[in-house]
Amino acid sequence: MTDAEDRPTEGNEGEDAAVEGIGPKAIAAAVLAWALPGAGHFLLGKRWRAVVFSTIVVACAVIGCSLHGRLDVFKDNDPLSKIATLASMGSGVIYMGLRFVSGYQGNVVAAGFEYGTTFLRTAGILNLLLVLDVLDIARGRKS
Amino acid sequence: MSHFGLMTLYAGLISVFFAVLWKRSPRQQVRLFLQLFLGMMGGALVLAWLMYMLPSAPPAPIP
Repeated sequence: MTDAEDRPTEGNEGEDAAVEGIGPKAIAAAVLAWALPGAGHFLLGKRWRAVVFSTIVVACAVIGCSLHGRLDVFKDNDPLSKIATLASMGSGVIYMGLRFVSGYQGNVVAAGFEYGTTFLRTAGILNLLLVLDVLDIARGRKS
Repeated sequence: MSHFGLMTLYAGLISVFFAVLWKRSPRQQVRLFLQLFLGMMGGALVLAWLMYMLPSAPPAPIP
C-alpha cells in the first residue's frame, strides 16, 4: 500500500488548489472542537464522526475518573507535570469542569490510579488531535 | 475491572478512534481497527511475557 492510498483524501484531484487559509470558520471550528469534544466535526457537517469522537473522548474521561486517576496540574520544578497538564487540558470543558467545578483531583492510593491517569491524559490528547483534524477539514485539506 | 480488561478497553477505544480518524470507507476502517487493536494487544502480551522472565524487585516503600 502506498502513501497515497493511505491518505483520506485519496482520489480528490486538484486538492491542493482547494486548500484554504485558516479563516474565521476554521478558527471557530477549532475552538469549538477543543471546548466540546466532537463539536468541531459536528459544525463542519461530519456528524457521524462527531458522535464517535465525542463518545470516545468522554468515555476515556469517565473511565479515568471512575478509576480515580490524577487530574494533572502545573507544579513548580516539575517540567513533566506541565506537559501532562497541557495534554490533559486538551479535553476542554471536561478538564475545566473537573478541576474548577467539581474540584476533582484523583486518589493516589486507588488501585486504578495509574490507569485512570492514563485515560484522563489520553482524553485530552485525543481531543487535541481532533482540533488538528478539524483545522484540516475546514481548510479543505481533508474530506 | 481487571488490568487486562482495562488494557483491552483502552486498546479498543484508541483503535476505533484512529480507524475513524484516518480512514473513510468502512472496509478500510475495520482493517485498520484490527491492525491497531491486535498490534497493541499482541505487543502488550509479548512485552509482559518477556518481562515475566526478569527477576522481580522488592516492593517499593510507601512514601
